[in-house]
Amino acid sequence: MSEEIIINYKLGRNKIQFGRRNEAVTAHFSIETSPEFVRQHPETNCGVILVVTQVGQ
Amino acid sequence: MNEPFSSGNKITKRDGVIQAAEAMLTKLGSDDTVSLVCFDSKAYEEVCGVRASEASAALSSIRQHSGSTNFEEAFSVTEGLLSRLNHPSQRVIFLTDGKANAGSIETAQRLNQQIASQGVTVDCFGVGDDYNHNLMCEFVAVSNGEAQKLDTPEQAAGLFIKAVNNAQQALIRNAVLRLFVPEAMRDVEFYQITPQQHDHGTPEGTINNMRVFRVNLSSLTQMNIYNFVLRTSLDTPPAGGPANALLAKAVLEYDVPVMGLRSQKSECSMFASFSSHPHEEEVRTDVDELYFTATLERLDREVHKFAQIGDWGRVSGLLQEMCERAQQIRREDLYNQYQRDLKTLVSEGKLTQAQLNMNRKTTSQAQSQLGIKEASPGQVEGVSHEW
Repeated sequence: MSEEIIINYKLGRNKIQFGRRNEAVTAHFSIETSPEFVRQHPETNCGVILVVTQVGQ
Repeated sequence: MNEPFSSGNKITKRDGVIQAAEAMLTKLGSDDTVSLVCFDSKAYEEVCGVRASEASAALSSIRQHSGSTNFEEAFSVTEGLLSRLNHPSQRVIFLTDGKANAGSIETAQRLNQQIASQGVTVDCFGVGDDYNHNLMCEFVAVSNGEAQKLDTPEQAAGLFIKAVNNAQQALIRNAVLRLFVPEAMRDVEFYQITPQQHDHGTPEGTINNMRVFRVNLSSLTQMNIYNFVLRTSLDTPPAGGPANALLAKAVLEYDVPVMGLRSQKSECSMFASFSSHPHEEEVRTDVDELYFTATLERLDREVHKFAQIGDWGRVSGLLQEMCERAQQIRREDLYNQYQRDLKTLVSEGKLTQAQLNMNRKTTSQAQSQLGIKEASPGQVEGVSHEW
């Protein structure tokens, strides 16, 4: 398991009764970098490319 | 670009954009570079990979041309330029004040996808009332970028600086999320909700009886949380059957250039559990509200589709449905926006591009606040778990 990434999840419903049909369930999950990774590697160098229209309307 | 930036604003779009870009340059680090591509019916590489101090003069090359707007040329020149840059993090800020009226949008979209496949994130900014915000949302969806409407030069500067911050904090590259959902699950819907809402509900295929949904996240920044919702229907086992079932498995593959790591993997399996007693069921309405808010994204895309062909009857029906849904989730801000459009549609018989853009922006950013990371001591590192 990687140490850079945390994936969490939670469900809208859980412990649903046995023997039920067509039960709607929602799952919410999130992905983020771990605090330790952020602490060790706060930034990197980058290239920004600005692409701009020059047409008058 | 020679018109006022916005109504009541004396500064022109061109000067407002140059001001915002100059503010952005001040945030670049000593090892960061900037490139500039200007486009009209053709695209011109003005500078490539220079330090901020060398870029300032180049901004004056954002000229005032008349002619057509060619996104295909803009993306083509940008892709060629990117092939000569080699930063651990690269971000494109694409800015237009109009609709493409030359070149092929399909080719521009293909080039945009090629740029995304290189781990480059594309943000799309629109200024004025004439551009198509829905198209900007489609462009950014393939690289996990942000589509923004620029209302004032000050706000533009803030968004340009945010784009630079995102680039500087994007240490996870070439990130691809695959969500595996068992075929036994029915009526599957899958949405990204931050940094902006996207409908990712079309599977790319099936492997080992699992539908596979693919999201190119491109880069992950240190400051953002990437939130998703999955909605599905299932039949629970008969009494005495298995106590839980796999709802879905999320697998993230990515590179970490600063650590020299490639093809890393992080996984999370999501299980629903079952009970013999109905009173034991656990319900979290906040999770369902995330889903209902996300469904507005699909409805709003439909609004744009039917608005483009002038089917205002269908647009009206969709806006009514969006109003009802916004009421259901107690989002007064969204309800007021959709209700305003509905009233305009009744009185005017149609909506302007500016009104459609405002609607699209509101919906796509309806849950953006959830994507900002807060310090949360006690989180378990490197472990997938249920909250």
